[in-house]
Amino acid sequence: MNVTPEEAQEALAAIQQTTVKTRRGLAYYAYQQILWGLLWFVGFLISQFVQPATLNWIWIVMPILGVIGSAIVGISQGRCMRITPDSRLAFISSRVGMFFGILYGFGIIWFVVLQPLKALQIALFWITLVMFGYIVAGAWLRISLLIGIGVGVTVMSLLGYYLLPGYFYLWSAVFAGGTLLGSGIYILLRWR
Amino acid sequence: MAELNEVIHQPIRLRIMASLVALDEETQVGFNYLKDLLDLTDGNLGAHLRKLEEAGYITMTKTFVNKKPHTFVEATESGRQAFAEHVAALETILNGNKRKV
Repeated sequence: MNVTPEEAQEALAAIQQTTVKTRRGLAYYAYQQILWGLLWFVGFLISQFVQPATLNWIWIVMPILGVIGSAIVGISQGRCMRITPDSRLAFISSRVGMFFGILYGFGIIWFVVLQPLKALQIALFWITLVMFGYIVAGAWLRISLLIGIGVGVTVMSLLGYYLLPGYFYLWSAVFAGGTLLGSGIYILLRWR
Repeated sequence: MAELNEVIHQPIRLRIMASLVALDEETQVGFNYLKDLLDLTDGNLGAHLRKLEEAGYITMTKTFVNKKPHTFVEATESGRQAFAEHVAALETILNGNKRKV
């Protein structure tokens, strides 16, 4: 078959356009990252400026919104794509999901047992717990970005906790929430 | 030297393969998603998918999700390879023309 250079260029452009459109539309993990980054950012930002008594409500509502949002993302993406059943990727994916489920379960146990905790300690506890998950998942899956996010946010959170306790929530909004949000957007834009 | 693939080069099939290969291996795309992405009718998409399936470039899996029938499509290893070769052939044609210019 004969294809002119112009036709070849058109075909390659169509391939690129379709590739970008597909990846942007089905970037499940990027959307989840953006969702939770936004919730952390808003949650910590509000926490900086409200009365301590309101903090409990914020951090009950935010995770609920996160779970609802995650379910919406999961269901809408699930209609468009899925991991091949019984594949190696399905096995790995289920194990990662199981790991995070167990991690959060133990997080709740530790949270209850370690009471009473101060408000800042509670915030740092959950931030570092989630980042522990990122680091382990990153090491397991060999995804250096996850490890970088986990280590970076942990270090910055510890710095904020010890050096700027009066502004820790604001600090966390930027360095914890902002990092998740920014990295999610980065993944979305770079995966093309 | 990479050669053009007549089955894949058809514009709609080219975009179908581009969409499937864009994702990781062991990932399947829904029929309705492809239909919306490529702005095709059920019949049109179905005909092109059958052609690709006959060539061994994709597999189609029919299943039920919440009691509704769904079809998921996945590029095979030979499909990914054939697509990569086709892209390489297109790039050779384009680069060959650029060198002449």
